[in-house]
Amino acid sequence: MEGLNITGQDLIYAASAIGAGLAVGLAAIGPGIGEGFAAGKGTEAVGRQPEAQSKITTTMLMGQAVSETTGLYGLVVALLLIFVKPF
Amino acid sequence: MSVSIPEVTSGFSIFGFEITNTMVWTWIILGALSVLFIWLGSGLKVKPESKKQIVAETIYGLVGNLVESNIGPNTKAFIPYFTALFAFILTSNLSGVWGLGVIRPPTADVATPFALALMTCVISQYYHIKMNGVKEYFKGFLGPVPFMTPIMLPMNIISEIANPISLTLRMFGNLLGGLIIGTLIYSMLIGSNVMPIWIAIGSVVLCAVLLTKQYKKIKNLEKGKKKLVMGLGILCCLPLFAMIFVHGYFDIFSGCLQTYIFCLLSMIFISP
Repeated sequence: MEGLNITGQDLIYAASAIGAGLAVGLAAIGPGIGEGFAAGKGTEAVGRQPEAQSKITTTMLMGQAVSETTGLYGLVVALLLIFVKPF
Repeated sequence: MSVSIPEVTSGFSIFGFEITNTMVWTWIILGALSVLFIWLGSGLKVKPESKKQIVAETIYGLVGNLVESNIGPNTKAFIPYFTALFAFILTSNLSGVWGLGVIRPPTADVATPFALALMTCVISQYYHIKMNGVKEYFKGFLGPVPFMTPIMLPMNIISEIANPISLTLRMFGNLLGGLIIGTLIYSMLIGSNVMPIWIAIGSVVLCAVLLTKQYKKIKNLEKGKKKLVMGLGILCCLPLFAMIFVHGYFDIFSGCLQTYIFCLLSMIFISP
């Protein structure tokens, strides 16, 4: 391995990139499941009560947007790791 | 030519304060909205005569309904605040629609959502104290029964602090995530920040030309050539489709949804 100089800083950057990917990827699992569940329940509700579709859709989208926040925390952590470089 | 994520940059500084593009666009949007709402609110009559007054009353009624159903009756004092909040966030979220980097949405800078969330937080604390009284307000932190206080007190304090942070990060993350994914799609299909505007103008001109004079010529072509022309046209429009997807989803859909969510959650936090 001659000519390949990996300093500690390089290792930290590499680990930050891997950590950023992991942060987004793992944080996307929960909201994905949750939003899919909400959408499924919303579809059920529309099937049972088609006349209330607009209200159900609004409520569903709102709940999904709120549960999306946990995924966005992961995204913010990844952005910090990539762009701010705290280490 | 390359695409880069639109950044918060400071062009100049006044008395040591860095004036960033976020601040400039915030001022412009605030000025435009102020002019618009002062114009809407001027010259009101008991019996509406102008269309302008009907628009103003509709906006007031919509926000008023939302406030009343979420905070409670007799909360007219909140309607101006929420109208301003709604208008400002909606305008700044939608301002990214002109293309990547033409206007950087002020809400995609972490400072703007944080300021708005902090305002909501201060108002909600003040309103809780006003509605419950100082003693009841602090009693609320201690929990229902005395022996649970050591657990409930830190939890209550943390939940009060978490509210503005979650409001901030929700809006900031959505807008900045949209910018980054938009940058990726732009760099994949379009290749420039400024190009899309020319492509849009060019395609509009092309469509106009095709629809008026040249259409007959193309129609009379033989089949293979016709397909070639059509294919070329679709290929030219591909960046436009990507643009429509990026700005339609991340700016218009997500922007409107986030505005609604921000205002609704602010109301829910404020309600005693």
